[in-house]
Amino acid sequence: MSDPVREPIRFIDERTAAAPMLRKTLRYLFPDNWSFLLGEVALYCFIVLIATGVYLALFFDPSTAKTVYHGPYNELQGREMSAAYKSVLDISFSYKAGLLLRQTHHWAADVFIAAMSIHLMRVFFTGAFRKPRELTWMIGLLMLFISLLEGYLGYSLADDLLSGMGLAIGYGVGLSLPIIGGPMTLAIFGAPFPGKPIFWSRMYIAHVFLIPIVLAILISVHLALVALRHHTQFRRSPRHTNRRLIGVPLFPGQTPRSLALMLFTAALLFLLGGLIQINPIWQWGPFEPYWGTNGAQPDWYLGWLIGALRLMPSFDLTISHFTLVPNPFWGGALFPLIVLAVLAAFPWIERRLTGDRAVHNLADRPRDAPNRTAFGVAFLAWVFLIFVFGSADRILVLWGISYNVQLYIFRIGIWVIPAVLFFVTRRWCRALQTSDRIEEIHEQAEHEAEEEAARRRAAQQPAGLARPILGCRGVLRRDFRELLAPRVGFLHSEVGEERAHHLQKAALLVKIRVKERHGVATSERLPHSDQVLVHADLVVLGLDRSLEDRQVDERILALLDVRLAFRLDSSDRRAGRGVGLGAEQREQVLQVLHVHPGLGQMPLEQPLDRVVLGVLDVVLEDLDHGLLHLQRRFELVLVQLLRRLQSLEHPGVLLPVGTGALTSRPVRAKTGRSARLAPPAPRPDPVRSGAGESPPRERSAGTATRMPAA
Amino acid sequence: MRKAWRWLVALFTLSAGGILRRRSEGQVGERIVPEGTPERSAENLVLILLAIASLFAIGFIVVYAEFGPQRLPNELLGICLGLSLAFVGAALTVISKRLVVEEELEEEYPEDHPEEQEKIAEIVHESGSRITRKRLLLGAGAATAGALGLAAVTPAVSLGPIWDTGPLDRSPWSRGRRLVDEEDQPYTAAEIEQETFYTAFPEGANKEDIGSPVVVVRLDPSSLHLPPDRQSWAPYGILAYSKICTHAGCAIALYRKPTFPTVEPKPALMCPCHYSTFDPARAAAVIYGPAGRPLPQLPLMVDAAGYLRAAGNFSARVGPSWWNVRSQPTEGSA
Repeated sequence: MSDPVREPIRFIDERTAAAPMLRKTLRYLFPDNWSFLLGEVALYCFIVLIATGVYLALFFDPSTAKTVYHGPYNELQGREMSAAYKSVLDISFSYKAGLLLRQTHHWAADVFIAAMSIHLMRVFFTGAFRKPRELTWMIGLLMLFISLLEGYLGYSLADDLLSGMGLAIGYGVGLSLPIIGGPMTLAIFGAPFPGKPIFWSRMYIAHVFLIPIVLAILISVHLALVALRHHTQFRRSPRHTNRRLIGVPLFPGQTPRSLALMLFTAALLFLLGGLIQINPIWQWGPFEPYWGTNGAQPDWYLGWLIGALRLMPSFDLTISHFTLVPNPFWGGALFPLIVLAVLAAFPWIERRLTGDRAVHNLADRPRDAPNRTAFGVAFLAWVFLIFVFGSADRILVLWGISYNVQLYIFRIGIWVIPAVLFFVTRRWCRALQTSDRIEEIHEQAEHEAEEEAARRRAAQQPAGLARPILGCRGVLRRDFRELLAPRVGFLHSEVGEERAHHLQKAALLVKIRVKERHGVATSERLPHSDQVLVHADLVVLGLDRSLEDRQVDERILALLDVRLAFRLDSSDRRAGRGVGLGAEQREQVLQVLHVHPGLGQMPLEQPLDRVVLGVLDVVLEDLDHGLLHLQRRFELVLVQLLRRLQSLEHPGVLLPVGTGALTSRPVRAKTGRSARLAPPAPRPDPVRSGAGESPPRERSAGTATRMPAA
Repeated sequence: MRKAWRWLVALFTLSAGGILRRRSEGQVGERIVPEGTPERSAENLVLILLAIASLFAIGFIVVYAEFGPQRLPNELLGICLGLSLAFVGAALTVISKRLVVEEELEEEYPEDHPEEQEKIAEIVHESGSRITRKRLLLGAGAATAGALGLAAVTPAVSLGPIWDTGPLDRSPWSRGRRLVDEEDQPYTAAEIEQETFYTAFPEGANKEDIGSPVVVVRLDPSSLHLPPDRQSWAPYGILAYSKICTHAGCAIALYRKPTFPTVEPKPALMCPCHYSTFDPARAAAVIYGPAGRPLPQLPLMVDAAGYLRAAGNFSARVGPSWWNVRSQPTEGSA
């Protein structure tokens, strides 16, 4: 009975009663996506940092006492320097494998912060910071900023020329804090720069003890928060929902993966540390406050601060002899604080702006939230451009662009480029969204058309009455048919076939506009014969009977000129050339209002006509209300609009025909309204004659002239 | 005999029962992790990869032992350790791709617990039934915590001169002090040439003090545009400014010297950290870059022996700006 697996488990459970928890932990589910591993990379870098850091601490001497160097590095032979700098030289040259560990430590710090930053972007652009994960997000941010400080302290400790210059800048930024800057910085440094010798042991204890402990605690809390609420996931299939997580269990599936990632991360860091030189402090030499060197660049993660410090125009904010805000404050303190504040507040800002307070376990794709993505890209570009300016002196050396010229280009560019990127990104996201939806609807429509055909064959119904005129969903179509079938006769007898066809077109137009308002392209199809599927737009344009592709194409191209918001069915071979209009027309939907006067020219002889106009009026008005919410999520707009449409359901307001069948779901109500006014066109002739009066034609002379003779 | 037979039967029954029970356990007990097909080739691959990883690890030790510190090839150490880790990683990748049972499980996301929340609130509320002046007590508790917290951080005041910003005003310069170079050799006015710059310190002072270093440049006296009260500060066109940038405290380590003065910009002092640029001819006014105020100027004079001496203290406080940096400096202390 000595099972090597059961025995230790029994031992542990008998002493901790933790078996249920252990089992749950082993079966914790990880969603399968590469981008979810970025945070893990950061964690493994942290482990490498601790491991190599412990080694380095065994040899490092945090003292500013003066010594004279006598060691293997000839160029510094006999130079006076601090004990700290000398001990780093010794680590690099006198202790075996010391250089490897030091360089690996440095590389690990750089990769650590890079991994954190990319992880942050991933979380931002997928909306994974939303409820219930706001705290995880905040703690992650806090860790990132603390890590920046930790890295800064780390390379300041070496006391080479570059680190001394970095410390001087830190001192300058510290002094520049309004009011408290002077006393606070003096307290930390102990005396004016370069400070008292004790300052070195303060930095050292912060770097090797205080901050690592804080980071370790924050990492634990971060991971605990992730585990308590579980990972987010992408909607890769209909099975991935907001309530159900699909993934690979920690054991056995995820364990070898994560361990492999850890080993690969460590391997990369040690290879970098062995093969690629980083921070060769012996080349910089020791530091004295009165020495400086040109072309100084900090570690990459502080480049944005250097850039901000360099970009600021020359001014201190003063009132007579009081200096309220010295210059380094803007770039060195305010700028990172703004970045931190914006990122930290973002989950709440987004809640406020979208009104979306729901729990989100499904991660967005960037395109799903165009405004967030656009803002993220703009914000990132802002920070990144400032970061790039931090290397302006290198750019000067590399490409010979004058520093002055760069300064003025960047001072404007950091505002203009993000603004442009905001709009470009938003439009791009929306175009992607629209194309997704069109795809979706096409698939659905194909599917339903097949279903419908099968059903019709089964029922042996006459095609004329059961045409799927409106609604691309099976439910809607059924609903519509129930609603319409008894009334077709009524409509025809009341208004005559020609007018009925007209009304049908008007209703279709409304419906198309309604759908386009949401970025939903309709793929309405009116099967006029068994073979030909005709796009609803073509019906509206009066082209549904044109059998020649050329005519259709000409007409469509003419419409492109007048920017009528409409969309084409890519599966319709005749309209193929118009496909790819993209989403840009979506924003111009207000132009739909032009349709109204066009429709107004329809003779108002029958009361039914007024009803049509009434409905159009109300729907268009609702669209305008809907526009106010265009910035929100698609679903919210839909709900808003449907609610408004539903509120029109008071009997007797508009409708000459009974409203009995219109009480069920809002979606049905919408379709029902259009449907009631849109009986199918029974014969081709009226359509052709009606084409001359079709609304879009009145909007564009060009269109009219290009109209093929009916 | 009979006894023995009974024993035999009993034994048989027992063992048969054991076997049967074991069999039924194997058949009835449902697996948690689904069964996969064994893959010996993958196992072999893992073994090979692990062996290579061990070889590299041993290689690391050999390299470490074999070479002296000066001749130690850092690259070789890095390759050994890195590749050893990478091969273990590769072995684990093979395990995860080919030897671990593939599972995709479903699980409900954790829900909120409104009832529990309510229960906790009730526990807190009901526990205070004996206390009548909750707010007062809470306030008193908070005040005490604040006082205690303040007391706890008070020792931090000893970190440095928190209340006294006097050290920031300190300058080792005073009237009559000679300018010396890094080797403590005094500068004479004659050895200061145009088109270059010199770093000078007050004789006998601590050179690391940021109030100490000054840059000394010589310009054509006719090109100077100093304020009226500083006309006498630049004998023979020799000027001295604090070497510490007024922006963020780096050393002014760059001097721009026009090679073709008719087409190139004027001479300027520059800080390499953020490229603040100062015009030495105009009392080090900022011509460019982020610095918010000019470099403090040190008035100079030349003594009878030709040595450069300070004619007083700096025109303003040295170093990066802080809230009181622009008020009148106290005269030459320390």
